[in-house]
Amino acid sequence: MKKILIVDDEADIIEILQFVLESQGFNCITAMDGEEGLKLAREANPDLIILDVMMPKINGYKISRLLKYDNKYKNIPILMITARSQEEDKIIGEETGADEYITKPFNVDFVVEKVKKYLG
Amino acid sequence: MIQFVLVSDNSSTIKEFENYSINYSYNIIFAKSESETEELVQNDSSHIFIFDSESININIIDLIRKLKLLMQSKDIRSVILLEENNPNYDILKYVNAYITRPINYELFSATINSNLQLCETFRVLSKNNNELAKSLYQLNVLYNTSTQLAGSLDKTNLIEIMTDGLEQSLSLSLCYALILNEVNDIKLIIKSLFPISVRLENAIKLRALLNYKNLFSINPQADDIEVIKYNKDKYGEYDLNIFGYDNLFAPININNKFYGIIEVFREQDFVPDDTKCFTTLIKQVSLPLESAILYEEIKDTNIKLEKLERLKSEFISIVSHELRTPLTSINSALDIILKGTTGEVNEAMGKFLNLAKRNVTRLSAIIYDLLDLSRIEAGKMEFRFEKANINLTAELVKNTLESLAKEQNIIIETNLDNSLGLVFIDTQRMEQVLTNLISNAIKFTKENGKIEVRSTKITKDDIRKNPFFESLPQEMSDEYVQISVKDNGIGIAKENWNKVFEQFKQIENSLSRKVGGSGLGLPIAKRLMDAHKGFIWLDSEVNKGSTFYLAIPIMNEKEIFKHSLEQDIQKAKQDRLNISLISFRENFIEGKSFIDKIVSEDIIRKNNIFKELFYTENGKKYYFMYSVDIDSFVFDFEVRKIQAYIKENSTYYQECDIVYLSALYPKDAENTNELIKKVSDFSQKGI
Repeated sequence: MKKILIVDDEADIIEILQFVLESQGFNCITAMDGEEGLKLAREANPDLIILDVMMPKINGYKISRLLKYDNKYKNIPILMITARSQEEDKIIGEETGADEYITKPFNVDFVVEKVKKYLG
Repeated sequence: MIQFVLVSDNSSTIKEFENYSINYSYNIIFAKSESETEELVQNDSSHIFIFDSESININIIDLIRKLKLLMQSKDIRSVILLEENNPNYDILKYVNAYITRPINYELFSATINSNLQLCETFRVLSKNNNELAKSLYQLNVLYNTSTQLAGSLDKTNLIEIMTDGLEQSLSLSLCYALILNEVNDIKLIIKSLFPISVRLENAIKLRALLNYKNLFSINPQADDIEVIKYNKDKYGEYDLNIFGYDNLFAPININNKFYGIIEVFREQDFVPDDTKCFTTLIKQVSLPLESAILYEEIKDTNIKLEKLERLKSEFISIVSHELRTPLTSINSALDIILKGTTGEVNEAMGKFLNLAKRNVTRLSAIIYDLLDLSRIEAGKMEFRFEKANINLTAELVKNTLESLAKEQNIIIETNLDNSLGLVFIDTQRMEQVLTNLISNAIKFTKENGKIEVRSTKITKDDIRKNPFFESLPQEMSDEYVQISVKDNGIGIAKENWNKVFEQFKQIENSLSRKVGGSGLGLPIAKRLMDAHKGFIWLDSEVNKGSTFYLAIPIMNEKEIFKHSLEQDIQKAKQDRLNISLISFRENFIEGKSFIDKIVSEDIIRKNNIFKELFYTENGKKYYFMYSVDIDSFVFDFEVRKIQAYIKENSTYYQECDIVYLSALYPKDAENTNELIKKVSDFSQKGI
């Protein structure tokens, strides 16, 4: 079973994503802040990471950059989620090496579709 | 006793005059060489010089010439003593009078006397002249000061200009001005020739405060005073004795209200003219001071308003961002339930869940609108203008909305003029505007209605004649593409026509409430049209229907080039890229080249662009434009020859139907050929 790491400081969002992805047959692990997220990303061998941008301690961009510039982890696909406006975030997001970019409010089907693109 | 100088080295002449001086009791100073004479001219008060033509070693003409240079302002009368037999008339050109030998002493005395009188007259005249010059100087200072005063709106600066003027025109020793902006904002400006001692500074402070209190019965605190000191010379020092100098004092009034005081000191006593100059200068400052105070008030208000406006935009932006996260949760939760993943949804549940879902979608739309509006207002909206066929955009929007219209049995008809040509627009934003207009038409039209989308060409005059616009910009394009969206819906009463473009002002109407919406669609459309230098307006009759019109300026190639260049430069600047402009031109229009005309002074000035002759052929010149702090560049060339040239220099550069090209290039590219080679690596953009 493919393992997905969901990092978001919004418990509701985690719950929804976890429910939807688990109902699609994925195994989910979750983290509520950047620090924990980074730790899990490095230790729990996830197959894909869903990453929120605005988070306490370490933000999503930084996590993405840290992972993508590390040969050990650079192949893990990262889906970035943010509530900020598209254009500005898209540029930064691309710079940080995230593989996909999803803006809030998002559609769960869209997220599932993107996840399947990498883990299908 | 009358005094004169005899310039002679002839002993007999000297002897003769020695006798003469005894007989006539004149005081004669003898100068026996050229150097002695020069010394006398500079150091002695004698005004009359008698030159002996029988001098042996003195060249009189040379000496007189030399003396004239030395004398400068001193008036000297020269008399030549000539021989009777052999008069040298040439010398007469250089002297004021002559006497021939043998000397007739009566005549000689008369000559001396008349010349002395002339000297006196000249002295009086030059004294008057000096006074005149002084008045003229004062007037000049007054004039300069008033010009400077008119050019400043800063209160302290104004006072400084005034004290400068006073210093210049009255050659003051010291001058101080105490100005009171507010009770706790008091400035004391002290200007002096020499530095001032500490106790003098304190004394001036006290004196100023005392004067101020006496005049205005306000009690400022000495601690609150900010002292600004200037002195011209570094050395020397003024102490308390300066209070013994002559002084002038005046309050500074603005509009019958006291603003400050000024006092000036001078070692030399003031004359009535000086007093006049003093009061005039002080009067002169009061009007600009009043303007400065008013200006400051307006500026303060403006800053507050701007801050408020910015806060509002920021607030909207933050709120909308914050709203997105909970909306996502709600929306996703609804999706999950509606899909049946969590168990079967019965009809009633489905109905209400769908209702919730519809409203979440609506709320999202409102948030997007709010964000758009706040971005436009904050000037943060990014546009990507390009050449486009507006008819295609209209078709696209129509096709997207057709299914929505069909649900209500509404027909959308298009009537598009295919000869319109291209416009320079941000297609995505234009789609947004048209989507808004057409979906509005659908919303406000009853079942079985009809919507007509039409495009035509109109002129500037058509817009100018349109009574909808109360004011129009000075600069307008000659021609516009007009798009109209006509429905046969509920219509809008005339008094509300303008309101629909204002924020948060959806017209109260049961139908409008039923159809929902943020009420921001049209205000956004209006602002988007503004950004396109276009227009939006409407025509409507209640219960018959409305027609919304858009006008988008039609630009020629040059205008489009100019706009896209500006846009690229702007964009590159925002992204902190450096920009490089390379331009080749051949067509000289009215003595100026194509690129000169369109890449006009403002772009060149704003971006530090330099021009350089790059390539010549058959007497035609092609220029290369570049800028030092640059990374991306733009090509402009119209002609095959240039294309050929580029092809020769770049093996990659094949298709050359490009007039314009924008790209990035590494800063270190050293010569043009290298640049051109690099061009091939970059994105190309055809016009």
